[in-house]
Amino acid sequence: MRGAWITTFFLLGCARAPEEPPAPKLPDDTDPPPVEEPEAPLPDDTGFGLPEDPSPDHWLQVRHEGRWLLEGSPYSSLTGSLVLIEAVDRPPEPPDTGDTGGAPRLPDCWAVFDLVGAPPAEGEECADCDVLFEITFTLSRGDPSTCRLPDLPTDGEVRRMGFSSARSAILLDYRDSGIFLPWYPAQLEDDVLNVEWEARLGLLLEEED
Amino acid sequence: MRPTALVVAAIWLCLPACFRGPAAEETPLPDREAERPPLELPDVSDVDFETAFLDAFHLARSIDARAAWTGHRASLEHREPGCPDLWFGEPEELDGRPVGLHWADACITSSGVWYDGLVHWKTDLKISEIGGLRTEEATRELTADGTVREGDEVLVELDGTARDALYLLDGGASRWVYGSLVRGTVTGRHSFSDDDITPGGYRADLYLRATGGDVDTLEMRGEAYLFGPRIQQRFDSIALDVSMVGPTGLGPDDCALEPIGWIALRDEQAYWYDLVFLPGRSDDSSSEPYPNDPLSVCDGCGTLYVRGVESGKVCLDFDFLFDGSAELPELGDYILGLHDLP
Repeated sequence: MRGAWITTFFLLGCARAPEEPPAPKLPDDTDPPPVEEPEAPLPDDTGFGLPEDPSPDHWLQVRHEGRWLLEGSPYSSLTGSLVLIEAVDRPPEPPDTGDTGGAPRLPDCWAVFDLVGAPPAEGEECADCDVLFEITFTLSRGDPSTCRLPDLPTDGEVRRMGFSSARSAILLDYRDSGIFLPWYPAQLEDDVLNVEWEARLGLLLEEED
Repeated sequence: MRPTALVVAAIWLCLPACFRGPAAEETPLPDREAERPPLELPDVSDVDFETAFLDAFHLARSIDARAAWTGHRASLEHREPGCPDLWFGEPEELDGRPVGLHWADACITSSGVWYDGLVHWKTDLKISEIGGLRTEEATRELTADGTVREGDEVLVELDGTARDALYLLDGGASRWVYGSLVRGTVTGRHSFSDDDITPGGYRADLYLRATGGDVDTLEMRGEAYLFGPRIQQRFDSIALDVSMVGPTGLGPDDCALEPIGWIALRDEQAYWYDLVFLPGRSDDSSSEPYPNDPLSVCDGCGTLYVRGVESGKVCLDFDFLFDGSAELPELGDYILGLHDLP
């Protein structure tokens, strides 16, 4: 019986004798003719899959507001404040300082800057502005470092900002580029600029364990 | 007969098969080269190769990140609160870093504009002054798999990445550098008009870098598919790898008449037509090592290969390249933040 197994083993081994290798495929000089495509094909090599409607689970709500007093004729000085608030999944309200018996509930980010402005040096222009100031931002309360949005003022920073009545907006000389962008909606009433800007953005948060 | 004898006999019978040499030695392979049908060369009697390759060159030079950005910016004008949802930072698919903004949705606005997919964008602008010289550096990047359409009309379709950068020294008077990479599909009415050189858009993987001011240079590498025979109603794709130095930067060994590298066109039969100019880098498979006359002659002419078969010379006039007509993006085009969204 053992001999029969040995024989079978050898027979199986020998049955697979080297075969004739397949004929080498010759390379083509050019690509094969393209497949007929009824419409412009959409690529599928650079994208990534998407859910149908990826509604945010979390919202970042932002409010920047202030009252800026203009003085002089023509206006030659600006004083006021700018409050920055960011809150996740709740309204962007300032800290509750009422007598609630506990610690005030702080927004996720809150900062107050005191503003002092004066007309810029000769040669600085803003074509769309009724009035232009160089404004020094001084941090007086809170901490803007926990804010998420970019392009926030820093303590001691000087920004060129102007008011455009035609656009009902504060314009910012973006990063000293000489390009004035509409930054905040604003209204001038009785020498007071009322500034208020809000935004609401979806936010990815790392899920807690 | 005893079993052992049977085993020995079986092994003895099998051994020749085991030790038989390769079958190929017994049956020689047919001579495939001899059997191969002769290469069919297309009829090119009606092709104006000079115009076709110049058109291809112009077309490649027009493919940069601007069309994608123009379309993206215009597409945001249709948005309304909640459609599409705007997000802070990158989408999860791009690591979710707190950089830039994106929209991601599948929604329709009250005016009937559909947003489907996602588009992430980020921009940066840096201004500095050193030694009285003002430097401006601007970058922007779009990464998208999104479509905005109105009814059946695609307003913008972005699938892939489009990014570019602009560097201006002294407002560009002393030096400017523009670089762009488009890797993906860009189509739609907001990106291209009927008068555009590529009205139907493209699917491209194309890098471009140009400099000016003190030294004029141009580099382009990559390929583009035009969704149809846009060039002379025959060629639907281009591929190229060229670099050229303008008159202001010419060294003793540089050629002002023609680029280093090659330009290729593909027709709808998928036949390639390659125009090879000066040989380039030693690792460029399309080039041959120096010296390589006549390919290395600076004469404005390249050698044409049709399906790999040398088919004469084609001479192009590149005088238009460094005539100061290069159009750069505006610095303001590189700002698209939350405050100034359309």
